[in-house]
Formats: sequence, C-alpha cells, structure tokens
Amino acid sequence: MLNDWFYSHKTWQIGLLIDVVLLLVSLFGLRLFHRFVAWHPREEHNHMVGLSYALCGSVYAVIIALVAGSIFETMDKGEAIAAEEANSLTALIFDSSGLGPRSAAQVREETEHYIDVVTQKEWPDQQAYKMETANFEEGWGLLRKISIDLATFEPKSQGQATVKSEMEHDINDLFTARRQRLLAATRHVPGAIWGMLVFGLGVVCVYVYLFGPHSFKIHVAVTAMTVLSIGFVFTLIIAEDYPFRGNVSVDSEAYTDVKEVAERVFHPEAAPKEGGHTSTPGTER
Amino acid sequence: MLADFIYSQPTWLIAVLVIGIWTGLSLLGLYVFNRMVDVNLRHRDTETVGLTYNTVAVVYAVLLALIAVDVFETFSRADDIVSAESNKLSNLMLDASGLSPQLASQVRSDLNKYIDIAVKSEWPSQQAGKLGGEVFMPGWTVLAHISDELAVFEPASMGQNVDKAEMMHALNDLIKARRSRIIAAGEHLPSVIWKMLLLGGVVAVVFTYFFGAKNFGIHLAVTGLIAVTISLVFVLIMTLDYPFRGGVSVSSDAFRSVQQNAEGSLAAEPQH
Repeated sequence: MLNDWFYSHKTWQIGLLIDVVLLLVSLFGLRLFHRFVAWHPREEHNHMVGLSYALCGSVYAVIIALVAGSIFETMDKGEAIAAEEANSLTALIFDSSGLGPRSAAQVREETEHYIDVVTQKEWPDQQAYKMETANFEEGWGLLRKISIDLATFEPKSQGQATVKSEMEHDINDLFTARRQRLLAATRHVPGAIWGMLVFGLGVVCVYVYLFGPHSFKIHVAVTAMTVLSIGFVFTLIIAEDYPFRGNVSVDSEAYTDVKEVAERVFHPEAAPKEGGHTSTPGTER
Repeated sequence: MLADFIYSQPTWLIAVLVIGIWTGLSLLGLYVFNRMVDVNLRHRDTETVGLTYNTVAVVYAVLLALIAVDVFETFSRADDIVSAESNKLSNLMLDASGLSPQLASQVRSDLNKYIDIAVKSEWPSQQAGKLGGEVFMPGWTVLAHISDELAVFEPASMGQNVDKAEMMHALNDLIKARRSRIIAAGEHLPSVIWKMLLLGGVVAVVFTYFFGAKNFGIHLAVTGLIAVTISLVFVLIMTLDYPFRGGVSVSSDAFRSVQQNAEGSLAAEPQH
C-alpha cells in the first residue's frame, strides 16, 4: 500500500513526506526525552556519549550509504538487461534476411509485434508494478511462436542452415534476457533491510538525544540535520529501488529504437519522416 | 541546457566556477548565520555539534565517494564498449578473406564506410550530446546492409560456411557493442541523485555553521575547506559523467586503428 503511494508520486513529494515525518517524529521524541531525562547527568557525560556515538554513527552511516550504492548498481543492471533484450531483437530482425523473403517478413512482423507488446503493455505494467503472470503471457506467447517457427523452418541450403543456427542462438538469448528483465522488475530492498535501517535510525536518534548541550535550540538543530541527511538517503533508496517501477526507472527507449531502425531499413516507405522519431536524447543511469 | 554549457567549456573553467560558487555561497551563508545567531550560545555546545556531525559527515562522504567511483566505472565501461566494437570490426575485416573475393571486397568497403560514419558523424554528435535517432540511422543502415549480404550469401564450400557463421556471430556482437555505445553516450547521473547530493552537501556545510568558534577566521577556514572538498568531488563527477562528452571523454582512436590494421593485413594477404 505504502509502496503503491511511493511509486505513483514524484520524487520530491516522496522526499518531502519522508523528511517531514522523520523530523516531526524525531523532534517530538527529543522533546519527550528532555522532559523525562535530566539535563545535568547528560551534560556531564557528553564526551563519553560522543566517543561511543562515533562507532554507532559511523557503522550506520556506512551501511546506509552502501545500501544506496547497491541500489544504484541494481538500476545499472536493469538497464543492461533491457539493452541485451533489445540487442537480441535487432539480431533476429537483421539475420532474418537469410531465411528467404517470406519467412523473413514473418519473423520481422512477429518481432515488431513483440516490441509493441513490450513497450505498450508490459512497460506500463512494470511501472505500475502489476507483475501478475497473466500480464506477460502475450509476450511469452509471441516469443514461443517465433521460436517454434524458427525451429520448424527447413533450410534449403547450407547458407540458410547457418542463418537458422545463428537465429536460434539469438532467440535463446532473447528468452534469457526477457526472463532476467521480469525477475529484475521485482527486485527490491528486502523488508528486513528496511527494518534494520529504520531501527538503526531510531538508535541514532536516541544517541543524539543523550547529548546534553546547554542550548535546547542547538539540540533541536543537530537532531534535525542528522535526521534530514538520513531522510535524503532514504528518499534516494526509495526512488532508485524497483528498477522498472515508478518515475525513476529503466525506460523502453532501447526497444523503440530497434523498431525505428527496422522500419527505416526494411520498410522505408512506412517509416516516420525526418525528425519524427520519438527517442529521447540520453538516459539516466 | 546546463549540461550543454558544462560540456562545451574547458574542465578548468568548470572547476573554477563550481568551486568558486559553492564555496562562495557557503561562506556567505556562514557570514549571515554568524550575524544572526549569537556565537556564545554556539560556543558552549561546540563539542556536541562536533560529535553529532560525525554521522552526517560519514553518510555524506561515503555516498559521495560511492557515486564518484560509480561514475568512474561507467566511464571505464564506455571505454571497454568502444574497444569491443572496434575488435568486432577488426574481426569482420579479417574474416571477410574467407568469403568470395567480390563479397569480401563489398563487406570491407561497407565496414570502412561504417567506421567513417562512426568517427566523422557519430562521434562529434555524441560529444555535442545530439543523440536523436537520425544521428545513428546511417550507421544502422550500413550494418543492416552487411547483415543482409552475409545472410543471403550462399557458401560454396564447408570453409566458407564456417566463415559465414563466424561473421554472422561477429556482426551480432558488433550490433550489441554499437547499441551499448549509443546507450552509454546518453547515460548520466540521474537528476534525483544530483538533487540528493546537493541537498546533502547543503546539510553538511550548514552543520558547520553551528560550531561556535571564537575566531571567525578559523570558522571561515573550516567551512571553506569543507565546501572546497565537496565541490572538488562535484567537479570530478561532472567531468566523468556523460562518458562521450566534453574534454575528458572516450575517443574514437580505436576505430581508426582498425582501418590502419586492416590496410596492413590486406597488403600482406596473398593475391588470389
């Protein structure tokens, strides 16, 4: 439920909500702490609290930064998988010339249909995290059909046999890349790690409360800034988690490029005129 | 727009601008803060501020370092992609010897045409950040032509058949490397990460304002040094981001060397 909200809103809205909630909770906790725990003993042991906080704070800081770093890598892998699938589709379309005009046209048509299914149906489903098997059945069905057509194709010459062999290799790579994409689309930070991160934040907050500064305003300021900086990293992790979900996610540009190239090369009469292409310049890693 | 400006300027100028603006704003902020918040109030709690600063500083430092390393790795990966693409071009040039002389010459001529397009047309466009489909279409068309020639080629012997299979495989690898290059040319740090880095940097700098140094000069020095350190990493990330743009970018030399090597190999090849 919370996940659905996160990935249906803009990153700044998520960041704002997280930081406001964390600030309110932590400052409310500080106020309660101040009311129930005397200031003098804390002020006397400020140095000891500080030295031990160095260990706890550093461990937490390194862990949260590493989790953010690993999420960033998962996003990179998601993009690599999509590129791999697009490469296999290009290879299928290009290699099909060697099968003879009729079979080639059939393979190209089916491959382009598959690209339409991926970009127009599967991508929106992935972004909305509708990962039910039924939503991907059409794509699987099309791939199976291309695979069966290829497997039953009877080469009339040695040259066609070589092309068939290469294309069977391409379609197997395509199956692998597709399966990897669907698996990657469900990959996310496990609940246990989120639990640890939130629990760790609680420990960090309590540690900050234990300090005994003379000015309550200074105490409020250091608590707020500590929580804010951790809130920023939480936002970053949420935005980059689920590499195919939400606004910050792997796009389908690689697939639309394959279709555009195929249309320009094999059906130049049907291709969009100059400047009519839809690909966007640049992708966020 | 901002990226266009950044990657059209020399790196030293970007470094001076980024470090100057970031550090200048940080020191200006400190000056204003110092006038508004009593230094004696802060002085008594400098120890607390210093000890709690630890966590904020480590979170930010590790995150900043990880992102800088990731950008550097992406840059190295782009270099590897170009190397893989040129290797496959080289393989195709050499393997073409196994085809019929007429087809071999046609394939080599197409490969040379492809290299010319990549070096003379695609590379300048990549450097200028112009990555629309039109830029890459001529290259795709040449590759599709080579693919078509190979696919419909009917081998006259077992040897030619093996050569055809190997070349089709090499061509598919070339297509993979090409697409990876096109994707890598547009890759850059997501804006959400830049925003988080900037906000985190602001928190890391503002935290230092809460120190209560009796000597304002020392306070300026500490805040200034932290701001310079952070902005230096920003400059590093900017320079290496977009691996095919700006002064520090992946070059097309590998493609040219393929042509030179192929010319040398063909000169040494026995004439049929």
